[in-house]
Amino acid sequence: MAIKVRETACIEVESGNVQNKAPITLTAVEYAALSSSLAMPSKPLSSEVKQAIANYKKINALRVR
Amino acid sequence: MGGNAEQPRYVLEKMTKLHNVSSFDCQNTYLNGFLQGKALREATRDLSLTFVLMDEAVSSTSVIGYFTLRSDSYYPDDNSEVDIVPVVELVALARDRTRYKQGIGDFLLIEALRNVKLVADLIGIAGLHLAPTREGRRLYYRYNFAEHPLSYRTDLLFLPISTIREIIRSTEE
Repeated sequence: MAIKVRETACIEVESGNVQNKAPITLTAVEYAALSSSLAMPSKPLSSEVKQAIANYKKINALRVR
Repeated sequence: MGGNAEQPRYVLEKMTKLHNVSSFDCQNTYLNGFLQGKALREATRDLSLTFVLMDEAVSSTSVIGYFTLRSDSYYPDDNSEVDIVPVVELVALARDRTRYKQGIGDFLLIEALRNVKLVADLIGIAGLHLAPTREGRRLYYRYNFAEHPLSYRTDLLFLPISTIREIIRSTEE
């Protein structure tokens, strides 16, 4: 199994069917678009999601983290 | 401790070898196979982490839904102001076919978002991305996931951390 260590210390396993995808690289234009979307205020939640959240709060679940 | 607290019906916890996933069927071959073949193997190697949901009214070990998260990063080209954009990838999220229309998909997604927010509050995360199945796309659009600005990964949807924080804040009101 070939393992390549990037300068950023991210390890990519190039075979073995574990994480065999190429790293995502961004051009300057794509990075600008991403930065813009990160800087924008979040859109209001739809009434459908608000209802889903209300239902979520009613689910009696034990969370073990 | 008072004795009046109602016993939780559901349990959400990290997947272990004690969980029964053999009968899980979400009607998606990849997502069934991931849970039954890869999820635990990846978790034991700290490559991703899978949380499984059980319905205690039925079985404390049979999985009725799950989600898997792992870290990912974007690498802006050399002229950008940052070297790396850290994100979380929602590798998989599915519920058993017997659990449609019960809010289980929403529950799992919100719990996954809660995990992302926890990580973001500790080490910084720009957002969450995923490559949705055709069946899942409608769920993610409801939560304001947007098409990714990447030109060559049109399959990806992205949700910025600001929206994730807003959603989790709403669950705590």
